Amino acid sequence: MTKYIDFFVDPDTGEMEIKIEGMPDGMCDAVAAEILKKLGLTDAKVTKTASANEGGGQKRSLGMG
Amino acid sequence: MVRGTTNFTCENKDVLIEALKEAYEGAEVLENTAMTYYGQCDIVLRRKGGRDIGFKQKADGTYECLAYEPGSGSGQSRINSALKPVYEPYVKGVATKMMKSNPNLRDFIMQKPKEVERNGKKMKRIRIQAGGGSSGGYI
Repeated sequence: MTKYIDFFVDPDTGEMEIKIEGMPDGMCDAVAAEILKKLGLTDAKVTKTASANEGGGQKRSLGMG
Repeated sequence: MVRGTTNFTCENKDVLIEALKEAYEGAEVLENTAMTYYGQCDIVLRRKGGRDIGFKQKADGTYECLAYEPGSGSGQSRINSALKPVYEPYVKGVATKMMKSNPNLRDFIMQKPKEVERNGKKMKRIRIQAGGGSSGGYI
């Protein structure tokens, strides 16, 4: 599965949404926490849409915004 | 003079300075400088035409923004308007910095930004994706 991170930026307001796809659970949470910190998104809403253990071969998606 | 909050973090001061230079080509970016008619700021962008944009560090680690930005609307909306050209290069800079520092993102590469529609809004999508192949190759 392709791993990717999408940063969605509203060009008018700078409002951001982040989507993380294809990463195993632990890595996804760690990367998400780092992104939130680096982008100053301390009040972000985090939504997990699917989860999989490492090597499980399932989709792992997490959205923030 | 208007002022508003930003999500730009002091930890990414270097990224913000580069993003300001990219967004306002030819403008001067100064550190620890007095902003005209206001006072000391951590970063001051001297735009052509004399309308400075200043950034002051807040206790929570983000920057407050001050600007001479004419127009209607709230102070925050005018700050957002002044910073419009900065958002994309800033996010690209933060993502690039993360790819360099985070081992989990070592083989990620950045794709060309794309305009997409998300939840009914036009947004810029900056994607970083695995598959750079920068490590583990053979010579």
